[in-house]
Amino acid sequence: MMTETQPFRLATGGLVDRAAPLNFSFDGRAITGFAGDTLASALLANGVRLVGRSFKYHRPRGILSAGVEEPNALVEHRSGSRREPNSRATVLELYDGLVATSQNRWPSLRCDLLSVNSWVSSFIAAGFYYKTFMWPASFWERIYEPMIRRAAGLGRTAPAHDPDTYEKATAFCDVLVIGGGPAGIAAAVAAGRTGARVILCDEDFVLGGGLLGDKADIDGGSGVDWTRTMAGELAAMPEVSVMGRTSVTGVYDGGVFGAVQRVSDHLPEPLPHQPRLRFWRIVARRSILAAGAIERPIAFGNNDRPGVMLAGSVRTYINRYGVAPGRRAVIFANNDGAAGTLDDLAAAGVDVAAVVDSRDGSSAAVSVAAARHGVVMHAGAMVTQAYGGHGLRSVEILTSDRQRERISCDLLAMSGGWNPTIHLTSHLSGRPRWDEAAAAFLPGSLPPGMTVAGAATGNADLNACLASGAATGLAAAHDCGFSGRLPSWRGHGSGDGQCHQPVRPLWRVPGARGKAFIDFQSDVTTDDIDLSVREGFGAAEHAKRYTALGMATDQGKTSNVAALGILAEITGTDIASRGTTTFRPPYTPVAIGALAGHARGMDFHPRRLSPAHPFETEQGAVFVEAGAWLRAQYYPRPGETWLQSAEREVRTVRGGAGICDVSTLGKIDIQGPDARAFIERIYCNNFAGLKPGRARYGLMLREDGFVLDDGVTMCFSDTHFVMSTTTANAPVVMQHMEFHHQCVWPELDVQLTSVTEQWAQFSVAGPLSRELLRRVVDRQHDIANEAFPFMSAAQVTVAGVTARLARVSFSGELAYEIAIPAQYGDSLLRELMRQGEAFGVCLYGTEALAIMRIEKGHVAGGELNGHTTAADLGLGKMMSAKKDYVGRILAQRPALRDPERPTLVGLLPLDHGSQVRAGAHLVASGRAANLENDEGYVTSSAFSPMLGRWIALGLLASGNNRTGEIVRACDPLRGTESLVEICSPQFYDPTGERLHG
Amino acid sequence: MADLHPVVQPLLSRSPLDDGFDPPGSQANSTAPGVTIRLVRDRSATLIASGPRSAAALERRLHEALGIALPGPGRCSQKDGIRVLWQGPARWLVLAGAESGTEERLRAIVGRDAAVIDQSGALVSLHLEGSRVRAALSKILPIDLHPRVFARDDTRSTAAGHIGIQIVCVEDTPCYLLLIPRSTAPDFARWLIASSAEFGVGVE
Amino acid sequence: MRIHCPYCGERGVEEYSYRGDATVRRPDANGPDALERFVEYLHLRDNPAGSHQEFWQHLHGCRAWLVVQRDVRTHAIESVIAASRRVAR
Repeated sequence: MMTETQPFRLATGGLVDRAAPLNFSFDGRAITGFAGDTLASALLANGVRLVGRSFKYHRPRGILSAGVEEPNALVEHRSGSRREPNSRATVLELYDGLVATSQNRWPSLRCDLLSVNSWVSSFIAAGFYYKTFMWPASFWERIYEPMIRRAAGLGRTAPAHDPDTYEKATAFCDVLVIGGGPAGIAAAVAAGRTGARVILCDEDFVLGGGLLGDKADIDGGSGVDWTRTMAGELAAMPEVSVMGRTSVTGVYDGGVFGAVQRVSDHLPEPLPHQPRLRFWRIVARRSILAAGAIERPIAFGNNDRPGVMLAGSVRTYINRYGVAPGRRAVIFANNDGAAGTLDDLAAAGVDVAAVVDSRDGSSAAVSVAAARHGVVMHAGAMVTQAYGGHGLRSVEILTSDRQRERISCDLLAMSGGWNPTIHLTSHLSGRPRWDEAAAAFLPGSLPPGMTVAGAATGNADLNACLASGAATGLAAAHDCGFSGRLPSWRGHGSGDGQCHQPVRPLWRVPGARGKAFIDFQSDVTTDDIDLSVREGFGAAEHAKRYTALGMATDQGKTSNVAALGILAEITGTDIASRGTTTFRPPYTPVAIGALAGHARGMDFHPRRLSPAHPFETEQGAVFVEAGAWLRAQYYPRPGETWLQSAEREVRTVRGGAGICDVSTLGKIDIQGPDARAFIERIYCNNFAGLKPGRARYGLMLREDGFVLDDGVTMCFSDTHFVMSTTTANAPVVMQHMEFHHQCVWPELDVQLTSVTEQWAQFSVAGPLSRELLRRVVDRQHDIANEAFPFMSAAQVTVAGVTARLARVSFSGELAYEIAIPAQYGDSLLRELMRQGEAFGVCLYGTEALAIMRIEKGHVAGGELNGHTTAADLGLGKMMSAKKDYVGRILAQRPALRDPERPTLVGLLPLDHGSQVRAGAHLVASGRAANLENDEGYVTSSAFSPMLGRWIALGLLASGNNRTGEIVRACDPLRGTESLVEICSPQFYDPTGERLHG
Repeated sequence: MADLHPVVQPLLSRSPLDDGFDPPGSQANSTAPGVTIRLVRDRSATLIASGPRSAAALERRLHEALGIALPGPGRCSQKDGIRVLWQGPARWLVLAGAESGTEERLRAIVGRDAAVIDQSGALVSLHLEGSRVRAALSKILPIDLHPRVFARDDTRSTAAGHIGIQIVCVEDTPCYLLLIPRSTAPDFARWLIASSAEFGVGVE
Repeated sequence: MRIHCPYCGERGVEEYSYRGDATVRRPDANGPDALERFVEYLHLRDNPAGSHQEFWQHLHGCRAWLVVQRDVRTHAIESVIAASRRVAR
């Protein structure tokens, strides 16, 4: 029955494509499989049963299952920057050239030196690390930690940057069907035929679910044929989307589901323009969970030997992959599934040595099957121990009359029953409930809009699956406003009859000797659970964390329920009242790349570029990130350091003229009959008297009395103002004002519109700025000193294009800001520079901008840090006593009026060459530098070209009264300190004459 | 000092996508594209923002002057090359040809009943069509574009990642108009092209 | 979570910005005890384990401020209205 090259491959049968052989390797050994194999099925076909070493004890491990629940067969595959660890061989699609290696062993799988851990296992039982590695304390960093780091972890990541791309996408549907087995397909067809929008997600690469592992028939044909026919019908429905290789990983509020689609993960390399993975957010009005059930292992001595497998998975390898996982088998079960397992093993030519049924009462289905095949049946018996090192050689059973018997075999097909796959039902805090009749946890409360169909309901009978799928599918479509007929199919599968026989759970075999594993991946045994209860950690949540059960990559799919059963038995309570641990997304592992999608590297966050970005780039600007924006920081000439560039720019501005791009500052258009009244309530200073054609500096507080933002607001008419904000706070101020307009004063008739993107804006500053602007602004607009005094604002034109001009100054020089619709911004800047050649004008960036405003003591981000009041900044007099405004009342709180609060001061290092940096703390001289003596801090600092020395602004307790005092500026973070003199923050041109030039 | 450049040169209007928005080596200009992207030029965009008290008068005036009824939430109306999009409560965006004077003309029509604010510089318009355009947009927009819920003359404002955009269904074939903030247009266009690449993307 | 904006329909929560309790009203700045009233306005909140009335702004949409009635235990949203249309208390 077996073929030559693949000794365990059946001559016929299975869904693999025997005309398409694939070459791959495992641990360096070249092997052949077929298209349609998984790595696990191909390894089993070739007789490879040892596939890994367990996490803690390094015990030899084989393939336990045929699905996502696999805890043992974790391999590393692909190479270089695409290398990926911890891939389950049972779901890894075979491809030509696959190179896979086993993990967690050295130097080889057969000879793993760390298997010594098994010998000292009694010292490294669950929780041992809570009781060890404590003494001597000096050993921790040098010895224990490095040792633990080397031993810990499972698998190794790739050594280089991931070269593949990932995507995220959003999908909408009326009905989401989760699971592509018989129930899911029936639901999708029933709903799809009504014209509803249906998405069917199936984690496998072939549709069919449980039908693929079973010899079922539906309506006279095979289950597989039925699947293909239904798939064809679904593919032809325009409103139905079948997403294979797609795992639904989480349920979220509002009918939102997360799903990972493995677009090209099954290929050695993604196709051009294909992402490796795509993460979907699916918004569904109704959902149907048809995710099937996962089989339970049974805990007995050394139940982790390679060759001990789940019975249903054995049937899957036979029926779906045409592979016999052994030559001589024993079946061990507590349910009627043993009958179907026996039928399939016999049909595959496997010698079945015995059927061991733990149930006392004679099970008709199983004994009839055993008799039919002439196989010995032991009723009321249990397997107590498995023997074999790198592979199963025999098992010991305990018969109903207390006799022990050894049976030689290389395959044990075990089944402790089935756990419905209901994890998704509890992602929104629903708790599963224990059902005695089903002997399983069934869904408790369900997420809104979700129903359950198929084996996930606890009833795996094929007709019941088809019927519940069709009924839930049609009902879900109906809830969405679509109607149709209820389809029906008649099927016959091996799950039939299971539901009629009550199942008593068999979590562990009493009297078993040797390690009886519950969680294979975390190496947790029944002894560990006993220990956990003895140590007081008997609650499910405690036992999980104490033993690490259920915390590995399989998240306890084959162990959680058994652990709860054993905890119940040990404590003499019933499993129903113990509760479960909480299932959380994701149901199966999700690569971080899928969650990032497009947002990586340069695309992490979209950059906002000024309209003049192209010209500034041509001029060699070095850009700095200012929130989402890129701003020109300085324009270096060859050979200059950044400091030299900034110095040159400052000198050019103060000595002639310079242009700075200030487009990024927020601009908010405020119009309407109540525009002025609204502004009055937002700014703390008086705007009632601001006339058309004038601009005014405004200070805005939060309702708690602290400064929110500042800026200049222009008045164009009594019903039209344009407010400017700082770059960083533009969205915050907009939201602040919209909140107060819509929620606090909805009676005010005012319209707020962000025009930040609409206008390009440039600061033209310096003694020659007016001359430069005269050449650019159309002649009919008089910008002479008398016609356009300081703080004027007007609409003008430039080459016939509407523009706005304001005479405002951040630098303290004669200065203007000119704004033009953004599509002309780049062109205007070029023209300004062209006209400015005659004046030696230069572009200046944010560095020079900052230096100049610090020289003038103007507050900006460093001082508007959310902790300062108007009075702290020397602007207390701006707060009007004549009107209500946001922040007025709470600014009067005693603590905010304390005269000893830190207030704005200038700071001059005594040593002219030394620098004091923002963040340094201020302490009176002669006092120790500690928190008690901390009197303030440096907020902004710069090298002043005009003074030829470093200067700084800061906040100092009672600063107004301490001019001339010398204090210490201490910077323990950088390990420096200097003595500074307190002075006025207006370092340069203190009387402000240059403004009015 | 010498008058070196006495005459001011005309200012040029420039789009942030003027340098072409297919980066070198990209997937644009395939022969049978599933997605076609065209930069829409020479269009004006003007915001009309009113308050609840003047909304009724505003609607009357616009209807008389332009023959267009102001659309309700999520809708747009159009006549003679002028398209009016709903943007928010009592806020509409008027898209028209680039002939100058739209803003002034609207201001003359609405008088004191609304604020009229030019947004032509603030927005970049992209026209999208193709058999796979919805699939491409599903990677960018978190809203439902199925024709049952988003059809001709519907419009939505939403966020593409961190970028606030507005989409209009121009035709049911489907054809869409996307309005994107100027400052993020280059990065958005790159993302759009990357998302469309697997379907074949053509850039006009 | 998805929130139904009365203008734009149901949208994902990432289009919105949350502010907090919508039952508090800005006190009369000229009233007696204004300081205490403003401190309460800013800092004192009921914290019901259940239905909560709160402000959200539909930021990446119509920019309307909304009053949402939401059960903070289940996230189920009971009602959404535009804040500017709320009847004054």
